[in-house]
Formats: sequence, C-alpha cells, structure tokens
Amino acid sequence: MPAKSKKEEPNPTFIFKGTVMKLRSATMENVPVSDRTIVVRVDQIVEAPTSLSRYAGKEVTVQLSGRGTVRVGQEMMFYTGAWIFGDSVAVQSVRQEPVKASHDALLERGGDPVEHLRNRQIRAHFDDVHLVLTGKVTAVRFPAGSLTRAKSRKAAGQKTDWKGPASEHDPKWQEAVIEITGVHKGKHPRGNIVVRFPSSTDVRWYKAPKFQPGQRGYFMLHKVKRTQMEPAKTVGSPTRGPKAKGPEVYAVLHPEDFQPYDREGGLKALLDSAFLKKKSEPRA
Amino acid sequence: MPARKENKRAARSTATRRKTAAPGAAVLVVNMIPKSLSGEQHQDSEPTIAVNPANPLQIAGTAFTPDPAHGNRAPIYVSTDGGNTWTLNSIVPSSAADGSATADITVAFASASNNLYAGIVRLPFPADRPRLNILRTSNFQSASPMMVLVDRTGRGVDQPFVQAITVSGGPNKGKDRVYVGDNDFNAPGGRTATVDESANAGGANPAFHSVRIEKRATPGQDGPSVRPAAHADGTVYAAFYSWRSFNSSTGAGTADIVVVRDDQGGTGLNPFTALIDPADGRAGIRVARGVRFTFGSFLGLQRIGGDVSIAIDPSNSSAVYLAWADYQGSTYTLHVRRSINRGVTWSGADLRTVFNATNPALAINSASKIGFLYQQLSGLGASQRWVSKLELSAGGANWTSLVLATVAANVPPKQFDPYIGDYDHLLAVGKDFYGVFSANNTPNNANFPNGVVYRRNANFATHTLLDVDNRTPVNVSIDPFFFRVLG
Repeated sequence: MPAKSKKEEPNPTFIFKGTVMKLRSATMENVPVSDRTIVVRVDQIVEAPTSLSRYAGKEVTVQLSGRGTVRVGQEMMFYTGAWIFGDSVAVQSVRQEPVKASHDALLERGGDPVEHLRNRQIRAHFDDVHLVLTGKVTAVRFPAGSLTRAKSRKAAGQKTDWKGPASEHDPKWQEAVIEITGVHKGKHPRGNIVVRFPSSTDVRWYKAPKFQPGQRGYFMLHKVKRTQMEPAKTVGSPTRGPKAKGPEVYAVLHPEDFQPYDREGGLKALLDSAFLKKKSEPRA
Repeated sequence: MPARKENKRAARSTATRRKTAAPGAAVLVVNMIPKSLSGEQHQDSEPTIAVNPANPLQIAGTAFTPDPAHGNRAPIYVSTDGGNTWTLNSIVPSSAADGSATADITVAFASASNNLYAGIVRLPFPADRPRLNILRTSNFQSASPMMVLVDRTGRGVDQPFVQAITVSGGPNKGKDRVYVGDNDFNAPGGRTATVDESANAGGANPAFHSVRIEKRATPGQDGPSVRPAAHADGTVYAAFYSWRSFNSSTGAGTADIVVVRDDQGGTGLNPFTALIDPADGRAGIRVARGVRFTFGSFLGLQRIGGDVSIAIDPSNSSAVYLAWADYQGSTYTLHVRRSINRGVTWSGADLRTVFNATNPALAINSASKIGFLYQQLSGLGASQRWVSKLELSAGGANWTSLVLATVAANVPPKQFDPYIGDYDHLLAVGKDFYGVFSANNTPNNANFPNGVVYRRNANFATHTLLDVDNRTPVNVSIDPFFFRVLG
C-alpha cells in the first residue's frame, strides 16, 4: 500500500537579518531561479548550524516563502532551512518579515549563534522527553531478558542459537543503573532507575550516549515499549510483533540525552534559565 | 595572515586543483564535497550514485552525509554537469533529532522517465526495527521532498538497494519498473531475502509488493546484501547470501550464493522462479555453496557483513556477471564469475579473485566491457592503505587495473560503522563507467594516480584541507569520490 506523501515544513535552523540585494536571482548556477529566489547579504546571524556560522557578510540565495513581495535594499529577518549547498548556499525561507522594533531583543542578545540554535533544540528536546534527572551511573550490564530468551530457545531444541535478526543496525542494548540525585521533569521516586542505551557504533546509533560506571550528569529519558526493544522474530509471534503491548522502559537515544556536569552550556545552563525553571521543580 | 601570502596560498591551492582537472580526460575523479562545505569533517561513507540514462549530465549521489543545516531532511548529492561539480540538496525525509540523515540509502534513475528513486532506512525508527522507505522525485533539483511511495516498519528491514528501468515497448511502454532488494525481517519462516517491486512506480499511486526470493530453509534469516539487476528486455536477476548456518555468538556462518531470475519484469504469478537448481529442484541457482562468512568481522576499520554484486550485459541479457565475498582461510576474498546462459550454469573457476578486499561492484557497458570496482586493504599495521581500484575486461579473461585512490587506512579515526561503507557503486551508461567510493580525503596528488578534482578548499602542496575562509585548517575525514571512466 503506497503511503501518502506528507508535506513537511523545513525546520528553520538558519535565522538571520539580511539585506535584499537582487530579485529573481541566485548566487550559484545550480539553483533553479524563479520569482521567489533572491540574493540576500547576511548582515547578522541569530541562529546557525556550524556549517553556516561563517556566512556573516556573505551573499546567499533565499527561496521566499508565501506570496509577499520584497524590494532591493530592504532589511528583513529570515527564518530559513537548508536547500542547496554548492559553491554558494541556497536556503528556503520558512518565513520572512521586515526588521522591526520587536526584533531588537533578538538582535541585541549577542552570544554564539551556534550555541543559540543548540539551546533551542535542547529546549525542544526537553519538552519531548518523559523524564529529566540528575544522577550517577553505578553499573552497566546486559538486559537480563536477552540471556533468558537465548537459553529458552536452546532448551526448546532449536537447531541454531539465532537470537533474532543479525542486522548492521542492531542497537546492542545495554542497561545503565543510575542513582538519582534530582528529578527535573516527570515523576520518579529517589533511588535507582534502570535505563537502556544502544551500545552499537552503527551509523544509526553511534551518537547515542554510551555509559560507563561513574559518569555523572543530566539524563533526558524516553519511554519505550519493552517489546519494541526486543529482537523481532521473523518466524512470527503475536506477542513479539510490532503491535505487541508490554511494560515500558526508559531509554537514552539522542546525543543530548546525557550531558555531564562539567559541560558548558547545554541543559545545565537551561535549567538555570527562566524558561525551564517553571518546569524543573524537583518532584522526587 | 598577510593578505598577499593568503592570496598566494589560495592561488596555489586553486592551481593544484586545476592541474588535475583535465576536461574530457579518460578518467575523472572528483571529491564530491562542495566548496560551501569546506569545513565539514563528517564520515561520508557508503556511497551510491545514479546516472540519468536520458540525460547523463544528471547524476545523483548518496552517502551517510547529514543535512549540514540540521534540518528534518537528509541530503542527496546532485550534479547537472556529468559529475564535474556537486551540490547537496536536502530532499530525503529524515529527522533533525536523529541526525538529519539516513541509516541506509541507495538511488537509481529509471531509464527514460527522468524519475529518481531511492530506497532508504528512514530515521527515526522504533528501537531495533529499521524502517523502509521507497521514494521518488521527478526533479532532483527541486526544493520539494521526495514523495514517499512505501513506508514500512513491521519487524524491520536492512540494506534497501534500488534499481529502476522504464519499459521501452509493448502495452506497458513508459512505465517505470522498480526493484528494491532488501533483507526483510517481516518475511515468514526466516526466508528474508526479498525484492520489493512495482510494475508502475512512476504512476500516481504506485503499488509495491514483496517477493520472497528465498526458497530454502535458513537459520532464521538471510544475509543483508540482496542485489537486483534489471534489463530492458524484461529480464531481472537478483543475487543474495542464502544463509545455511549461523552462530550468533561468533557471527560465523555458511551461505550459498544464490541467483534468481525473472523473465517478465517480475510481473508474473511466480516471480523470480525462472532458475531452478537441478540439485534440489528449488528456485534459485546456487552459484557457490557453503561459503564461509563472519558477520560483524572487520577488514581494517571496515566491518564485514557480506558483499554481493550482479550485472547484466545491456546488449545480451543472457550474459550476467556475479561478484561475492567469503573467507578463504582467514582471508576475506572477492570472487567474480560469469554465466552466458541466463544464469543456468556458471564459470567453474573465478574470472577474478582478489584477496583482502571488500565492496565489489560490477557493471557492463554497451560494448560488453566489464567493470569491477573494489576496495582493497594493502600493507600492514600503520602503513596499511585502502586502495580503490577499477578493473576492466573485454571478456573476463584479461583485466586492466586503474588505481583511483590509495589512502592511509587508519586515518582518520572511525566515527561510526561502516568506516568506508558496506558498499560502493558502479554502473555503466552507454560506453562510459560511472562510480563512487568513499575514502580518506587528504589532498595529496600521490593518493590519486589518475588525478583528482576538489571543489572544497584544499592546499595540495601542504596536504591540508581548508575551511570556507580558505585559511583555517580542517581535519581529514572520509569523503565520497565520484569517478567516470570513458569507455
């Protein structure tokens, strides 16, 4: 069954104040020029990924959003996402608006545009996760169930010790036992919590935090169905299929899900900010 | 740095790049990273390319390259000048929170429709159940995301490898047939080798269905590499590792290298059953039996999980070449064999045997010349090198070899697996061969005996990569290298 195409708006990751230099134009040959492509000089970067952080003072191509018109010389705020990287850069505007007084605070806050983007993404990630806590990793181990399943199959007389799909994308789950020292989002009693993390170095999982006993810091935890973390059985078992129900476990999946105490900025800084203070009252 | 010195350095860098950029040269090798990403240091491994047969100036490429702007789409590489220059266009569905990339991606142009298809493992996917997407775009330069034709998770899938062909005559003329070889853990009975196919993938609402091409008992699954190859006359082959035994503790196992064939473009009632092995009466000829593999072993820093490639002579669908890998003793070894009777029988001995090599990729041009790309680990210890070679042969007996790159094998440090990729890619359009491999990107002419062109900033005199300011040094990383060899 073909899936319906889902239109997704690009996420604005390159936000800047710019001056319109040319209409119906582009900064490189590879961009299909239309009424909506313009050349803009980047005057001030507000947020940027590392790859675009050195573009202040340079000209880029912007594909305008909506139907509004712009004029040469106009100063505007552009909220854009990537489009084409070649000899120059073309970005897609999610929205653009003339510079006005309400932008003053944004333009005058200073700091590192890369760090601003990262902090905004951490805020969004904070909102997505179920539990945020501080603590210390006291032990790392294999999930007990994985060994039990292998033994039961062997006992059942299976010809091989096949444990489930041998896939390059196998997360190779391990468990970390964390001694909780504070809860900043969600509810969990003090004491210990067991979280799963992918120990795999595969392209799918290498960015996920890998734990060692003794690590201390902030943990952002996701709830995942336990059944979804077990090897899928190709011979088919209703209790192991993708729709199977089961208890939930906490998992650490994303690069930002663990941040050591000594890391500058990041979640530590955000927890001290007004934005998160309301959300991070300890509930333990 | 004084302006004059900086200008001198920039001029020298440019001059060095141009020195090797001979237009119309018989061999063209191009670092695919564009100038505006001169600062990037990502491990851009596991590349593939697609050349539009209707317009060979249009070439799409892929690698494990994330969106440089950290958006919700992954990029493809785009060239509209035959591979001389490249841009990144982020049009593949992905997720910023999960790295703005894919966990697997291959691309193919249909032969006449200008449609580009992709098979990807899409991010995110739930826990350990990789999510298959099959995608399409009619304009790979567009800002619009590729259309999702298939979105399937279930029990997971591995290594979707896409091929496409436009029907050139008869009642189905103009329809795109798309074949995605994959290791589909949704398959019943552990017979996971699968071809997901559509007889009209260019249509408004194309239907795909999964053909289970494994007809024998397995120890729970097949190997990850399932490779289809389609011919204009409706012949379609697929090759895969049909696992016979597997020890999940050690990764050691045995497999048969199986080739299946369909003569009606996969559209009949029992697709891919045209070849029957006389020894057991099952569909799929076992070209090699009981070959040894070790899933998760390593050749240098590159993981090993199985390698297979198959190519059809475009002027004669009865002639088909097959490459695979196994362990001969403790040596990972590539083999090439040939059938001239539609896969019924195969050359008894290898046409080529290559030791300590991986990523075999075969293609045959319109003059029936065979191209064989692979990456070989040579030397020992710290002096080991990855040598990316293209071998050419008129009939499979005598081969000439082109070294496309010879680079330090232990630099840069590995960021993730796979280091250079679980595959590279080769194809032919007309008489010309087009390919791609990933390798250490040190700007050193000695590493590229047949020349190289960099668009990213680099100083070949000091062997230093430079950032977008053409001044700040950048660490060496793994980049995709496109090549074209005139036939």
